[in-house]
Amino acid sequence: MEKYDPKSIELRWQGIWEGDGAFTTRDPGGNGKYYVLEMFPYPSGKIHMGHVRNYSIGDVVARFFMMKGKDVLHPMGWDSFGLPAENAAIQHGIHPAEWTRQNIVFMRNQLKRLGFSYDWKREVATCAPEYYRWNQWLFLKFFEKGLAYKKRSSVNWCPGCSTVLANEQVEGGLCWRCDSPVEEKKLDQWFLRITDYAEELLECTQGLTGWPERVLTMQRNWIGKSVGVEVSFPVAGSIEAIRIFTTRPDTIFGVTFVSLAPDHPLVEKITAPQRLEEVREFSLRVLSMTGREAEAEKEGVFTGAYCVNPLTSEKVPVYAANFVLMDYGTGAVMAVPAHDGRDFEFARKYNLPVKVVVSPLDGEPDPAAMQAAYVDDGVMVNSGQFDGMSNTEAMEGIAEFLERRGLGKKGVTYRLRDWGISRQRYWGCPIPVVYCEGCGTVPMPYEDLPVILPEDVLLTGKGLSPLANCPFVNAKCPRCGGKARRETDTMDTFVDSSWYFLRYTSPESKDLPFDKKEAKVWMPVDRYIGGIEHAVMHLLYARFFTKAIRDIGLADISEPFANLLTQGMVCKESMKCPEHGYLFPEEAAGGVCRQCGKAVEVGAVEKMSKSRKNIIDPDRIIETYGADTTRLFSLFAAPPEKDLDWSEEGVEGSYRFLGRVWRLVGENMEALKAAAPYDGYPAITGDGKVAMTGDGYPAMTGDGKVAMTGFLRDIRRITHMTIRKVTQDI
Amino acid sequence: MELVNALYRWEGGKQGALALGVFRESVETVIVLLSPFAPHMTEELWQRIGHETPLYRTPWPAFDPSAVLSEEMTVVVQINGRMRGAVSVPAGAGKEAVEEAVMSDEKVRQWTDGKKVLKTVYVPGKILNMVVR
Repeated sequence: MEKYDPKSIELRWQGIWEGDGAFTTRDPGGNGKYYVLEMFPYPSGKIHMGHVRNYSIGDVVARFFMMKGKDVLHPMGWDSFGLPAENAAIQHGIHPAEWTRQNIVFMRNQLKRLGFSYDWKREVATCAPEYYRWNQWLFLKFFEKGLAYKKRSSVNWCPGCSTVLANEQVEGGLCWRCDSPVEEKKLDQWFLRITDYAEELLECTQGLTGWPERVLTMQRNWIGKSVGVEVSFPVAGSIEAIRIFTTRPDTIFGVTFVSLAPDHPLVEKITAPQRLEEVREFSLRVLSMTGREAEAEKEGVFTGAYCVNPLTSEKVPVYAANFVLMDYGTGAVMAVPAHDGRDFEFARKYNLPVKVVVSPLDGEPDPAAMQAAYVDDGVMVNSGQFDGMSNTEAMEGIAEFLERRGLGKKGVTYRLRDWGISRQRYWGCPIPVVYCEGCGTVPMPYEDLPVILPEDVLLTGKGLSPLANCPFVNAKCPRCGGKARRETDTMDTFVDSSWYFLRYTSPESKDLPFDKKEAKVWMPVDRYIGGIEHAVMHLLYARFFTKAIRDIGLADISEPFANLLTQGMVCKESMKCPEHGYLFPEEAAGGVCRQCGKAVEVGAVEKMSKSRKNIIDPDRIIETYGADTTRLFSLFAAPPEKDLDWSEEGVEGSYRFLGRVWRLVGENMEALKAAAPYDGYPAITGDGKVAMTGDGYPAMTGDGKVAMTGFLRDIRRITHMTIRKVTQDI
Repeated sequence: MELVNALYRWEGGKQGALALGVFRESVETVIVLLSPFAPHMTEELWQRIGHETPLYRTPWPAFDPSAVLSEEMTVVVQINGRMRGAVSVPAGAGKEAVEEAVMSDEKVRQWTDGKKVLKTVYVPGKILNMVVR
């Protein structure tokens, strides 16, 4: 047999598969269905090794279940709205639609060249009106149900570029393009009420036994449920009261001050007149900064007002503080310096009293001498009738005491916020709403969908929504026929990816986002594969959408993904020239910079990224070694959920292994062909009953006792242990 | 990998239907098991060794547990606390199968014939202890 020539073999079989419609989805028969899905890519230009790994894993699963007799749904598509297309337009003058189209064509061919078993007839692209009209349809349904609403909220504003920035365009508080400090700006924006589903999203994590525990923990933390008490602290000399939610009612006796968010409405109302200027100045400064929550230095300013501790009737000072956020909880926190680390720091900084109410068993600490807050459990002290109780008992006791007196109410809060979906961007799905002078906010009628994203728009990278400068903005009110202004923000692209897995079940559906019957057949996705970086946002949004879609009566499932595999990253060491910075591997051949010949520094092994230039182009590997080797290496070099360190030697190892298998068959072709023709595969059923006698080999006796001589028996043992191992591993 | 190496060690004896059958089963197994990972090359080999049905439509091989139970095991037999013999049984055989083998072993039978078995204790894979009277 000739030498192993991957390219000709691969191109030939890819042609055969395509011609045979080998991977066209069949309606599930008796053996059941299997829906395997890899997170669809953003068409950024070329596929990278991370994609190759992700899709190779998915393809093994798909092909395995196909051979196990399942009817497999294995689709692919494009998450094709998003910022890079807009940037390419600004930088290279190419229209985002055209740029995206070209990238899709290129990347589709790359995926085909890898031989993945996709049913290309089901391909979707989220930037196509046939797709995004259903985003708009779902938005209208959500709006009807009160799940979509508008609220004033802040965005990142770059004064240098005079434009809104996405969070990922803010690097260390600075604009990624011009390095201006980013400011906060308030705009009216659309939100989806994901918080309505907070409890269910949390509760259902219990049932997701096919998900990595790590992802579930991240989701639970993100949802951040806390059980506690809402207490009112009346403001001294005022009819106002400050509402506070606390998970530590046992420490209310130890409250020595209260902090408000700088934009809490009470700040203006209760601040003493002589302090108003200072407080306003502080608030303005804090509010114009972004990423406040993460900030290390805790700062505050005294408002001059006092409020009354409902348990002790003591007056305690009220501060405005930078670490309290208005959109989190009630926008006010009670401070117990003795038992909370952050409050302790703040109290020491501003010289506020520390009062111990939970004492360790080995004796009550002296507040003046404390070096840190005491945050563990203990015995109640300085707490009136609760003295001597354990603090865990007192939590319940104090909560009930407050409730009985009408001073507080037991309750639950979540860290999860509603999902702001407005983006001041062009290349996204238009939000199907108009603003009429007479009728106000008017949703578009269903029959007028899709609201088409216009193509003739000038992209400058400046100002607010690009669509606002375009005739698109002028609309007729669907209710009164009068003049109306169209919504010019587009949807967060995470909306597009929150339901695409449903669209794949019936990508041609013309009447609804997807065909109910098909969704019932195929959902849930049996195995979903993608990166851990999507643990929270995408995977939580998709779960939320599935539940909301269930509640509008389109599907009868509550969870979209039965099993989740989060594959690790593909990593490689970086190369850096002292003069020319990071180098691509081919620019640093032989350990020296191609431009200047200086020795390169070999950096740490990290995730492949364009910025570090530690990337390997899959096309080159495929061209050199073939698609099978590329796939095999990305699968065997590390377990799927672990990071994979790239090595050219590893690739060569995979190539040699395939060569060995090729030769094993080639060199034994005659013997193989001479073997008894089998009645279908597998021929030898293993119980030995079909076996033959003669030729000096002992017969298999049927009860398996003295089946074969040592070598044959060993081969069969290894063969079947391999079957078991490979089957279990997949 | 182990299987491919083992197949390379195959020396000569590829005559005889049984040997060829086993060889072919093993080579086919390599091809089939490798196919989800390296689908092109395996399809090519599959076709070249004479299959008309493409590999992607070929059923995944079934695991045969009896092929893995390759070794037999030796169980020591004690009668009333004294060692009276040993029997060979397939690895993993259960207590009943061991007892059956013991009771059909002539050496052991001379200690048990005509007596009543009061109790048997089996330490899996090691010892079968019988109390007889």
